[in-house]
Amino acid sequence: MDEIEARVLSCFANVLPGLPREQLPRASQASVAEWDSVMHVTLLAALAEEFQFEIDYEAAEELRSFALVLDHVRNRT
Amino acid sequence: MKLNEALKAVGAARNLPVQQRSFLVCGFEPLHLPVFLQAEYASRFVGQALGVEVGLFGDVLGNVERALQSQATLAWVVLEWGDLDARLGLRSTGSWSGPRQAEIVHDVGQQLERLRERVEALAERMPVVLAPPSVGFALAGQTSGWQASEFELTLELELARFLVTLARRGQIRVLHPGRLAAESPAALRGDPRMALAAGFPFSLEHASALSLGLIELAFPRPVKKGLITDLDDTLWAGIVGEMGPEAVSWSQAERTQLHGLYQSSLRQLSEAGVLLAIASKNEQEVAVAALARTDLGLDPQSFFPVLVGWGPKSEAVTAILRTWNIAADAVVVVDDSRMELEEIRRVHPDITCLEFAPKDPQKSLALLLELRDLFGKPVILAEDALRAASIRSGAAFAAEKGSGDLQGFLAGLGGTLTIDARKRPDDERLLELLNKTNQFNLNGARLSAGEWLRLLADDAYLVIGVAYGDRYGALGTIGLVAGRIESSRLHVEHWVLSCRAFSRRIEDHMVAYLFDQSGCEHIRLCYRSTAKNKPFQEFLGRLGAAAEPDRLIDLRRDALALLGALPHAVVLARD
Repeated sequence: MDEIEARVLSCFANVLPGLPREQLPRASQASVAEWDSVMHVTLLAALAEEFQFEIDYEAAEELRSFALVLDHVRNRT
Repeated sequence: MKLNEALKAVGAARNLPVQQRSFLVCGFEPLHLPVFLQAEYASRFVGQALGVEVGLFGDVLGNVERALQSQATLAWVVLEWGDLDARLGLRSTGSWSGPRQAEIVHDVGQQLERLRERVEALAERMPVVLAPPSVGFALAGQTSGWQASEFELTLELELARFLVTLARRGQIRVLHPGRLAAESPAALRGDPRMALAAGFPFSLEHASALSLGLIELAFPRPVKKGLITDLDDTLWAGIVGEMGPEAVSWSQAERTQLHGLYQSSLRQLSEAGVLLAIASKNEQEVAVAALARTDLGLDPQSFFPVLVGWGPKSEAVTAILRTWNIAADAVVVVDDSRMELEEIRRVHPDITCLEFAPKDPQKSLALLLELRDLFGKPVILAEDALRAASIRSGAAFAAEKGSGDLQGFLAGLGGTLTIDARKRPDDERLLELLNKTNQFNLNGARLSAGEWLRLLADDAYLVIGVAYGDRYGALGTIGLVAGRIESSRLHVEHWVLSCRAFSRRIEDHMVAYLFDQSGCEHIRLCYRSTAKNKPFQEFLGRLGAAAEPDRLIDLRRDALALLGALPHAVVLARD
């Protein structure tokens, strides 16, 4: 796991404290009941704060899994 | 606090018991605000969690009603301009120009009136912390951005009238816009991207600063009770022993204005009931002569005791603490000498030591602001005005009482107890007594303002306040006992007596009253031993009850015989 993935994982852990850490890389909106629109916005804000970039919330609507989020962050950093 | 830090703190606290249930009233999407509130709470109160219930988006009035119906014991009301008129928010396309401005002013006034009524009703049930709009709506106004338009100023005036009306209510605390501005610059508060995308108007930094302010208001830190000040180069500029009493100064004309400001701050503290004393290394005569100057910024009688001599200052501080009968952690010492402060700190590590830097206006003003934070109280009570005088008369009382015939001495005091069994939610003194009294305290239990209001609303709950006065002066309300009657027995859950009222057998009168008025043959005390309630344990001993730790103690009516004749007159307060 590289540094970017570790930091993304940390943001996910902060927003989903009840989910075991080993399940986070497989998390998606379809599989995690708590991943609603409020959690989604919170996650994006946490990522924006962690990686110091602006979030385009409309475009980020599509980032509905850990894998997609990680991909997006890698492209932005 | 960063959002990720706050999320982590809230995650760590998610399985902790919820100690406080609160309701966040706002019209915008609350989003990160509950997270920051919970995180700030968790950092202040380790091992406890804050519950934050929220209402519906866009319905601030309805959310006040929802708070009223909820089980919350505390409400946050966080307003933005869009809650007062939707046209004043980024998410509305309603126009704000031309003839519509008069309409907006009218509608804002109406909305504020509706809010005022509902928030005041809410404050009857629970304490309310209110944050006025903090993100400006700078688009409305035909003037250039540097010029405040009449329209904008009129809206600010309506808002100010609303806030003043609410600030007068004891249970409503309004967040200070100036203090918030120091923590969160105006230009960095809004997040238009988040406001348009999600309905949350604040930047993360502003949400964090706002939450910190709301938590500090809702859960104020323990207020300090006394301030001990040095004289030379602190209360005044100059060394009075070298220059003489007429030459020390504290004025703008003599370029020593900082000392004048310090004196005015002390006056404000004294008028709010803070105890003031002097500890100075000087000759008594010259120091007292300077204090007697008619241009001194406060009444020299405000200081008691005044200890002037050449011994270590820590000894003066020890003597002052003993006279005041308060703990070192409730006291602040102000001195221009770091060496003196260090010496005092070594003997009294819990005392707060602040250095007065008369040559540095920035630092000096920061110290005066810090005094405001350390001593500031939401409401000045009648007892605050009595406190200093009662300390002074307490010293005279102790000197005259001596070690002789206590019963005879007390009988000659002309003492009168006023017992008040009326429940008054607007009287904050009883809750203050409950939460600040340590020594004569049944069990050390504390109540939040919301919990207290709920008990007052319970018809089955008895609350009795006791005031006292004698020839040494009035002490104000100094005692409280509260509980309920169940199965022909009075269960006492709270019993406190201010240490200023010790040695007068007021507690004996209180227990006699409880038996007389309740008609019960038994009183059950929910007793718990604490590190500080030895005086209560001694009282139990006089009643023939063993103060074993943490048990219910049953008193029978015939225990009153152990107390003997009671020395004071008793009056019952009526409407």
